Order: sequence, then C-alpha cells, then structure tokens
Amino acid sequence: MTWVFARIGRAILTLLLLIAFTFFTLAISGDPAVAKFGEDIDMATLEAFRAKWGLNYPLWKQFLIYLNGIVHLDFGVSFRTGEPAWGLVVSRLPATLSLMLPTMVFSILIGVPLGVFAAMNRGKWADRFTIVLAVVALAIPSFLLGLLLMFVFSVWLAWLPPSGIVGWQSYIMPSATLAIATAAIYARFTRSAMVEVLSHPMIETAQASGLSRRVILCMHGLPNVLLPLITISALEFGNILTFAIVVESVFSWPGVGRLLITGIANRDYAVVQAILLLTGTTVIVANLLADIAYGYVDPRIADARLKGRRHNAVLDKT
Amino acid sequence: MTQTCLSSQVTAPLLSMQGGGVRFAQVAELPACDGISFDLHPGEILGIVGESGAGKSVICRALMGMLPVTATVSGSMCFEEQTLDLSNTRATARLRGPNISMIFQDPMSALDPLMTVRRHLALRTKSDPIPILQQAGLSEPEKLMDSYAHQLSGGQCQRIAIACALAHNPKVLIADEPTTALDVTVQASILKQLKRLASERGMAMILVTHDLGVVYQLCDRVLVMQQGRVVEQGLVQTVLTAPQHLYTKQMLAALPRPASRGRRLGLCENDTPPPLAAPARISSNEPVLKFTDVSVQYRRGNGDAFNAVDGVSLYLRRGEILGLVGESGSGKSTLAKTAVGLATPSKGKVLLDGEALNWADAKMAWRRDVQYIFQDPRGALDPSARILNQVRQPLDIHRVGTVVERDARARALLTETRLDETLFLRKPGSLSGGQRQRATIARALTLQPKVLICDESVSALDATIQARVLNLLMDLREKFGVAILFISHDLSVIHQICDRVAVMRQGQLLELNHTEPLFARPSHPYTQALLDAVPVLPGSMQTPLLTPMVHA
Repeated sequence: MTWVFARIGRAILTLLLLIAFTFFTLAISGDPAVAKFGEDIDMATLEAFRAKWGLNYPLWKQFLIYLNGIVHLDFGVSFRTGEPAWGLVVSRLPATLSLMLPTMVFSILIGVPLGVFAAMNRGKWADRFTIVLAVVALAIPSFLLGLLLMFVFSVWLAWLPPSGIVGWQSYIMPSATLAIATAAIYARFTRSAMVEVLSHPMIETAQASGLSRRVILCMHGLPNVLLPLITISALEFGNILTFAIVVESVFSWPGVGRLLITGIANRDYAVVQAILLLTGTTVIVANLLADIAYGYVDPRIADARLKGRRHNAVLDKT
Repeated sequence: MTQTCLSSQVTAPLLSMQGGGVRFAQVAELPACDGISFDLHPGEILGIVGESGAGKSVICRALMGMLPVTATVSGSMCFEEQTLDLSNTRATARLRGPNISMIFQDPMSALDPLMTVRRHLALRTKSDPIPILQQAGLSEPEKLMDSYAHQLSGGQCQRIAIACALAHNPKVLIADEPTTALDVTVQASILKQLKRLASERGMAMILVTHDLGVVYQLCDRVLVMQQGRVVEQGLVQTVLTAPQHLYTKQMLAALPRPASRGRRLGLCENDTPPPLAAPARISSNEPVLKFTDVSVQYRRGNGDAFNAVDGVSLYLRRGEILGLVGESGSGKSTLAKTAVGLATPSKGKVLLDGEALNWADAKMAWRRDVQYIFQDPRGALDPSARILNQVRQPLDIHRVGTVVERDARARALLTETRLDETLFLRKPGSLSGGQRQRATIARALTLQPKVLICDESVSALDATIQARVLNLLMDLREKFGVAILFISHDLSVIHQICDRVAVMRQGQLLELNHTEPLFARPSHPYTQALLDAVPVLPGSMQTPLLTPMVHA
C-alpha cells in the first residue's frame, strides 16, 4: 500500500504548486483596487481598499496568509460582492455538475461503441465515415455548435428553452454540445487503442484456437482497451471542465464556468483562485483514481507495485 | 517414425492443399507463395523449412483463413474429404478450433496479459483444464492456474498456448516456429511434448521451422520452400540424406557439423573448402582481454540486489575465438558488455592489454580497441545513411587520416567482408539480413580493434547466410589476428568456430575448456544437458533422438 501514500503525497505536492501558480499569476496580472475603482480614483481610497483586503502586505506574506486560509477552507472574500468566495463557488457547483455528469456518461456511451465499431471495420467505409464524423465534431468549436443547436431547436423549432435552467429540457442542449465533442475524442481514441489490441499476437492465438469474433472482442479486446480508456477519462474530465466554461456562457448557464468568467473580468482574486483550485483538485483526484484503478485492471502493474519492478527471471522449471 | 508415415500413406490424407498461392496487394507482381501442394495424413508430422521470407508462415495462415485483407489467396484445400476454396476465408475460418489449431513463435505475447491461465482455458473448454495443461507438458498446472503471462517463463507460456490450442481437441496442429524464441533445453522438452501429442492422440502436425535439426528429430516428411515455391518434398530421411534440389543441398552444406570444425563452411554441394591454417593462429599466450573476478550487480525494484554476473574470471588471447554459451538470463551478454562500458562491474576488473578499464575516465569513452556486434543488424545501422558512410563513420569521428584514405579503408574493409561493390552506396533497407550483418562487422573493424565481441550475431540469420558470416569471422581472425568473444546459444555454431568455450549459468562460470574436450567430455551436468538438447542431423554428433531431459 506504500505506493498509494506516495501517490497521494505527489498529488498534494502538485496541488501546492497549483496554488502557488494561480496565486502569483493573478497577483502580477493587475491591481484589483484599480480594477474596482478605475484609474481616476484618489490614492487614499485605493490605500484603504488595499489595507482592508490585506493587499498592502509583501507578496510572500499574502501567500502565507492565503495558504493558512485554505487549510481552514477559507478562500477569502469576493472583492465584488463581499460574500465568502467558497460559498459563492459551492452555490454554483450543482448546476455545473448536473451538466458534466450526463456529458461524461453519454460521451462514453456514444464514443466507445463508435470507436470499437470503426476498429472492427478498419479500412472499410464504415471506419472512414466514423473518423470523418469524429473529426468534424472535433473541428466545430463548441460555442458555434451551441449556437447552432440553439438556433435550430429554440428559435426555429421552438422545442427547447434557449438559456438558463427552466426545466429538464434545459439540460439537453448544453449537455449535447459538450457530449458531442467529448464523444468524438472517445471514438477516435477507442478506435486507435482497439486497432492496436487487435493487432496483438494474442488475438491471432485466440483466432487460431477457434474463438468466435464476439468472444475475442469481449474477452480480449475490450478489457485491454479499458486500460488506455481509464487514462483518457481522467484527462477528459479536466477537458470537459474547460469546455463547460464556454458552453455555460453560450447557454447563460448559472454554473461555475460563468462565475469564473465574471470573476476574471472583475479581477476578483478570491473567486477565481477558489475555482481554479477546485477544478485543479478535481483533475488531480481524477488522475489519482485512474492510477489506483490501473492496479485493479492490470495485474502487471499490481505486481510491480507489490514487489517493486522486479525482473521475472524465473527459470523454466518444467 | 518412418513406419507411421508409411502406414499412413495407405489411408486418405486428412488435409491436403492443391495449388495454394498468396499474393499481397503491396507487391502484387511477386507472389508470397505459389503452387503449393501437399498432403497431411493423420498422426503425421510435416516439416516446412526454408529461409525467412520463403512463404512458410504465409501458407499456414492461408490454411487458417488468417491472412490480412490485402492478401489474395488462390488454390483449394481438402479437409476430411470436404473441399474448400482457400479464398473463401469464412469457410476456412470455420475449421479453426476443433479441426485445425495453431501456435506461434512469440509465446510471451500469445497470452492476454490481463487474463489468468484459468480464464484462458475457461474461454475454450467447459471441461476440467488440468488434464489439458498436463498434456501440454506442465507438470504442476494447479499452481499456475491463477497466474498471469508476465509471471510465467517463456516455456510455460508456450505450453499454455499449446494447451489453448489443444482445448478444442484439434485434428491438425500447426506450429509456426514454436521454439525459436526459447532456450535450447526448453526447446527440446517442448518438441518432445509435441511429438508425444502427435503419436498419442493421432493428431497431425505441421511444423514450420528454419532449423533442419528440429525437422530431423521431429518430422516424418518435409517440405523445402524457397522464394514462395516448394522445391523439394519427401520423407525426412530421404531429403536430408540424399537431397535432390540445389537449394536443399546448399542449406545442408551450410550447417556446421563436427567434420566441418576448423574449416570454412561449404556453400554448395561439391564445395569442400580447404582447411584453415593450423591452430598456430593464436600468436601468443598473452591475454588481450582479461576479466578478473567480475561481478555485475543489478538492483531490483524492491531493493534486493542480485548478481547478473557473479565472480567470473576469463581471458581471451590474441587471435583466439572464445565461445560463451548459456541460457537467456545467464549473464553472458552482461559480462561482455563490461568490456565496452555498457555495464559496470560492481566487483573485479576488466583488463585490456594489462590495463584496467575505467569507464569513469572520460578518455576511455574514446574506446576503439573493443568493438561490439549485436544480434539485430537492422537496429545497429542507421536506416537513412549509405552503407559506405556508416562504415567510414568511426574513422571520421576519430579523424583518422585524410578523407580519401578513410574512404579507401572503408571500401577495403567492405570488400574484405565480401560485400558486393554495387551495394556500398545503398541504404540498409535494400540489403538482406546477412549483408547488413557483414556491413556492421566491417564497421566494427574500421578502427582495427584488438577484440571483437559478437553477441548472438548470427542467431537471426538463415543457415546459408549464417555460414557466410561464420566463414567471414574465421577469415578475419586469420588475417588480422583479432580476438573474438563469440556469444551464442547455438552449440553447433560454437563447435564450428571456437577455440575454447565457457559455459555460464545464473551469472556463474560453470566450465571453461578447449572446444573438443568440452564437447567430448563435458565435466558439468549442465553442459551435458545443453549438449543433449541440441537437435542433431544425420552424420553429426551422434546423440540419441530425444534423450530424456535433465530437468533444469
């Protein structure tokens, strides 16, 4: 189990780096006091604002204060509204999560079977068609796709509400926009992973001993494709978060993404940092989970973790 | 074994192929194989031999309906009086499993890395897998049932692959180079197992191999293939003792035998080459390369240290060829690598001309006196550079002489290795394996090394090409007095060219002696086991067929 602790330790280190990076990048990017009051304000007001928010301390001290706050789940207070930043972010979280989870589920349910289908028909028209479809889906920017859907289903057909959350119908278009791009990534990735697995000699051995195509696909193909899929899922999780920011803006979705954009526009340090930390932590945790899952799926990795990377120089005893 | 065959001639063939041919879309004008016809009777073992690229594997895959979509198959097959078009891959695929099954060369990748042995067999049969694994020659299969491929040795993996093939109780088993990737003792016991399976179950077998010794030990009849055609077929005894076709004769002449020791190998039928000069070629007793009590320690991931090489002392004299034999993992390559700084001894010293090698010394990095030739000539040459430039490169790097002189020297060496002048300006891609290996030898010789290390340098080559390279090495030693450390797992090759032989196992030196006494009276039982495991040909070392194996 030591490797789990080592891995968690590394995750915490990554998180610390992330905190430092967001903090210092935001700190050098501009003065929140000026952003709030504009260039023409008198020095006294500016100084008062800075003193109020602790902005007159040296940078390293601000950072330490900030770190101390994080340990107590205190991410500071929004300069703009005066509310605690963490509370603001948490209030927006359900809206974003309710977009991301269906997206993840649908993109896997659509993308993986499409990729398997393409790999099984490698080189045939079905394969080419699937690839072209995936490339098109990837090439269309998500804001454009969102606007397109909105035009067709809200303006033209008037089936779905164009923006905000007014009922379950509201979820369809934003999730679809997100899911189409992600499913395309899954399809391409699954296809190449499956093509590789199918060219492995074990497939020939399985064929030669008379196993049917279906058995080979389910018993050898899919489990071996699962390994790279775990990796890509952890990475995609971060990707969907990024996409969500755009999609939330297009559909005026009251989620974390829109909060981030208004936060950046107003130099609202506390809110922006809280969101970046939250998304960063999500990606780090997703990768940690992927690492742990690997050990369960792949016996080679489980063994390597158990014994260290040992050469299996077993002499043939038979 | 001839009896089995003669009696089976009376019965109808179990499987036959008529005019089988395969063409690949990439090289449509040149068929991979063409006009292949043969019969296979129940209980018979048919060997298919030939050089790499002769179409041996292709024809087997055609039988199984397992060729890529770019292949066009012609001809027909007849299995149990049912005639099928070979181009009808759906029909041939239906025969896979209960009728025809196949095993392949690389046992480690034949199994699914994510699946236990138990699950592999459960996919194929509902009955108890233990007897099937026992039939495949695993003595204690219960212990392996929950293991994964990476926890097993190559030999165990191949036996499990055999068990998978046997699970459907096939009438024909096709084995494509099943033991090429395995050590010689493991090869012997697997071949013995296959032979037993054929005789006990009346299962017919097709064995693809490039090793005539294996054919002689195992097969009833043999098919000799060259460039996609069958040039000769018949009973093994007949074909190997009285070959008709020139190619078969060449192949047989190229094999090292006891009688050919110390001579150049013949490259065609009536070519009995003159013996090489007397063993006076070892010019002095002064060792040129000396290993004193060398150990190389590797650390496993869990912190345990183990000795890949464990206290080995050896020396190599000027003009001497020293053979180094042992199974994979015996530490023979690691020992050799300490002489060129690719491995660092944790204990002991390597001396070159009496001077200890110290790779921490930066000047040592400009090493020229010891040159290393690896197994795979394809990986050793830059695919994008011309042969002549690559051979000249060491001279360029060390700035030896003028450009014209370097060029002349590189050309002279390439000529010395009998590489045709028209090939000098080609790139490695358009050369054959043997030609490439000769280019790497020429390159290794440019800096006039005192020692040449050949690490399995002829193992990947076909018999005739191997003979050419062996002849070349003997000539070079004759001409330049270079000392050669010759690493090989092939004892017949070792016997052919080496003056002395060192046997290694698990990092230790077991035995070191002059070649002839070592082969005649091995003092260590392990050496005896290695010798027993060598597949033999008629007229060569008279070892009884398939002697009981010493369990390693």
